[in-house]
Amino acid sequence: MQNIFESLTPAQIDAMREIGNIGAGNAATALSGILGKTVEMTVPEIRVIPLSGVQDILGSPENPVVGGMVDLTGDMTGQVMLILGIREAYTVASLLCGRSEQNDSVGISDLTELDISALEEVTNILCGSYLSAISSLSGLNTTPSVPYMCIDMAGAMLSIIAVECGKTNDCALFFETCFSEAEDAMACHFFLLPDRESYKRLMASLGVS
Amino acid sequence: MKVAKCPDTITTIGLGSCVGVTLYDPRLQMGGLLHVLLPSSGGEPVSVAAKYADSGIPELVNRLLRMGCSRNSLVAKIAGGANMFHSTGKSDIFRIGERNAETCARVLAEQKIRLAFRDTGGNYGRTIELDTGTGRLLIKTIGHGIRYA
Repeated sequence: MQNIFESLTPAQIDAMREIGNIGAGNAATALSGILGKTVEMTVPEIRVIPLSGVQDILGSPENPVVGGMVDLTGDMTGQVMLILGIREAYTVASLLCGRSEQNDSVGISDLTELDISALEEVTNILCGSYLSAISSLSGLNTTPSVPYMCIDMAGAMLSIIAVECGKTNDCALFFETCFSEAEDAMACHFFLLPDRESYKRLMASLGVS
Repeated sequence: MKVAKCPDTITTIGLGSCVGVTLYDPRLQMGGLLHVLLPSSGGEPVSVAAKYADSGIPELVNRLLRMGCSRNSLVAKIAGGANMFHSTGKSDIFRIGERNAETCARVLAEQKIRLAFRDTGGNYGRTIELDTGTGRLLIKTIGHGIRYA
């Protein structure tokens, strides 16, 4: 199967970086608005990762993580997946739920239903922010589904990405996204998985095909 | 795709919608494990046969037969095929686990391999380990216990 990402030009990488920056900016504005305090968001890394490398991003495939997935329809079809470590998920949820106490040994059982709901909202916001960035740069309109949440082994979740990529192409677009509020900084992993046709359309609309 | 002999253990970590297919020949204390990603290659030329149930299972069977196992004594156990994200979505991705598990069971039947145990479905990931000394399969989960089969 031809690897369409291997031929990414510097201009295409710049376009992806621009999507990342605008998307993160939108998301930070939205979160700051909800919380009434400044949340900063940066995208320190944008990468195209091969199928085989997807598993390595989160350390051991047996580590528990929180994942949110969104189905995309419209001009661009595919999926979006947001993955956070348990500690990061707990911290992000604390930020949204206004929880102040520290917990240094966070486990799965510490995440309440409210936390998951908060993370669902974060998935929503991030996904919507990236999609509107894509839309404003490319004119492609994409509708996200409601997010589907899951807490389980990293490997099991990343294999969903591997499955998606296995069907359409051999890579995923990976945006590492960092939230920070005051001195807390949390990294989360944002994967954009357009199907092959949508990816071509995206690159063409960005004028860098 | 891995094969091993007693006393080795073969394992695959973090099965989500994927299915782990283990085949074991108790006579020779030898077995194999396949990590199935998708049900079918859809007849297209395949770069990695092991990714698909319809091409990977026959290949694993043949590999074990070449090592001296016999079709009659091979016993299959499968685990995985979860639906990690709860949804009523009509998108294919939400049913991939179920389709993987069904296809694995069907291909094993076509290959005339006895399916002795099946732990598929649910909404949680699994790690599996096949002990080639005993043929016992260990299934580990997060929050859904440990099982032996």
